[in-house]
Amino acid sequence: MRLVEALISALLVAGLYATMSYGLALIYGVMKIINLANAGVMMLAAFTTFFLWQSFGLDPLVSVLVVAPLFFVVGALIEVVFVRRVLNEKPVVSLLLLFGILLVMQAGASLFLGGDVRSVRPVYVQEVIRLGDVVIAYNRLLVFVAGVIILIGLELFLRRTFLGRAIRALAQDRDACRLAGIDVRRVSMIAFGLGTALAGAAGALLTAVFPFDPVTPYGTLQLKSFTIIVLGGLESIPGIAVAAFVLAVAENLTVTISKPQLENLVSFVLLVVVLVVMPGGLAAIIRRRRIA
Amino acid sequence: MTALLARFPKRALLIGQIGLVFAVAIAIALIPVIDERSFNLQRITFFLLWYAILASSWNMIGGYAGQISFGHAAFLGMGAYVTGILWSQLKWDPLLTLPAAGLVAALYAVLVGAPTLRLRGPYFAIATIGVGEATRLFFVNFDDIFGVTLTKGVTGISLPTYDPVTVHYATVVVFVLVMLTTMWIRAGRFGLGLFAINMDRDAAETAGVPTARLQVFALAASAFFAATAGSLYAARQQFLDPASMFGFDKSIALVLMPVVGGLGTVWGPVFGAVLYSSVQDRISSIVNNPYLPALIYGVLLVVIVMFEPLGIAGLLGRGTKYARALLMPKDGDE
Repeated sequence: MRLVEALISALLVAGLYATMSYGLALIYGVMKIINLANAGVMMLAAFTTFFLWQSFGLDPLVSVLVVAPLFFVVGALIEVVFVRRVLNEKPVVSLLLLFGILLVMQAGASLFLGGDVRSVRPVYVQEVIRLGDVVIAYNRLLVFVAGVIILIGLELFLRRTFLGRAIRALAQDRDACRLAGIDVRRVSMIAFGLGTALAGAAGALLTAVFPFDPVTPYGTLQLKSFTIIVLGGLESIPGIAVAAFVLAVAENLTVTISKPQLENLVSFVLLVVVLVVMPGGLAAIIRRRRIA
Repeated sequence: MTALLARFPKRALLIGQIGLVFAVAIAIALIPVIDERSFNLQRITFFLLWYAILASSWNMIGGYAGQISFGHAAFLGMGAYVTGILWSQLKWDPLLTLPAAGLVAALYAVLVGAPTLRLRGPYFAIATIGVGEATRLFFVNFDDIFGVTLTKGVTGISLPTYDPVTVHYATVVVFVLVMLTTMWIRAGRFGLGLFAINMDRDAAETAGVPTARLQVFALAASAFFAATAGSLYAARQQFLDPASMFGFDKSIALVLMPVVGGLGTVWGPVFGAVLYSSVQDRISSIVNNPYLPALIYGVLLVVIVMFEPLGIAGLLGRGTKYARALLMPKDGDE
């Protein structure tokens, strides 16, 4: 029974993990840069959610509807003002640039908003659902459902709309897109905004589950999302969903079997193992199967 | 700057640079000789050289090869802990542990670098974020994992006392070694290979550069020197804890100094270290808020990356060009 409970709780966490990682993967796919500022965006979104809850009593799940569009604009601005200018430089440059932006976000939040630990506690935060012997935290279930809805919505957008297809095309071949008459700069801006909006949505959802301050838990979450996108194969949606689940299960088992302090070592060990054993990630394996 | 320097024969230039290194080293080495009681100046110059060693070591992989390490504090802390354990447990002289600390960290670097540097893409940078965090966790939980009392978790270990003046001299020696190494890399085939990788990995590979191997070498050398800096810190402060060695602020400083000073240049990291250590030294007396400097560092990083990728070294180069253009207008435009 404990195993079932562990698997269910891993699945619920995986929904959140997938949401926060997908923004990274989307931006990497389209622009081939690693958005180190992802963690900073999640943190700022969490603060926005916190203030919305404090001032207007807005539920974190509802505030996603406000926070995501807001951070779409933030992301688009970051792309236009900073990222666009260094896109043709060596990869080092964009990494350092986004690292600098992350520092500014973290230090700025600590300086102006204070380093205290905050938490959003909606009325249902203590409630649980019992299915026989299995106990599920209500807030985690809600957050999982919200995450899944967001990812399905995104998938439909990427597959069914012209703009979504343009974004996917850009991820495949930038030059060919230019030849086909796609406005590469505009679509890049939208993709970066979309990735940032996803990070924002994940940040808002996180507040319903974890307490936060300007730095924690975003550093470890950042590492987790990197592990997930590397494991998932950097650009594949199903790969990322599976990878998020694999990581959540591995963490859950470590905590149950061994020591809770080692939870964060799991993502790192998994990262290194993946890099050594299957650099292409799960997506490469899935692809190989399909061809064979 | 390069155009100006190109006028001098390469060897004369190299000798001049080596002379400069020794001049700085001798000046700083003489401080305790001239005034035994100049404790404050000794502390300031120790940290100046210490940061310069760290920044130059980071530059070997981050600047020359263009592989950014966000977790370099892992190597620094590992060196510090190797020294701490060999010194307090096995009673080695702390300065004799320097090579051992360096070798352990270099070996660790090879383990990290071999799988990640072989791949194209941002895998190394991603992995280093994990390496930094995992190494910190490993040393925090070291006693728990192995059932011993060695690192004492987050409380840290107190070490025996040691003569700070001896550490001062040792730091000068390591500084000279790191500068000679980085000049040697910059001037020779090794550095040429690394620069080629940084510019275009495919082209470098086609030209027969063993890209993966060179990068792993560069990382190992970088980790070696970062670890010796950790050892020097342990010998000087006689106290070690995970927060001061593996802290994310250390990893940030390591990225910041070479970038601000001048990525991939010999003297840039030293400029960055001078700036950073003097700011760090004054900061607590001016503002008692640690976030303000962090905010400024972040802004500085963004501005430099966007406008002057060669940092202070680039600005100086511009300066001489401008000065030259001012004095000899015809010579200025090339």
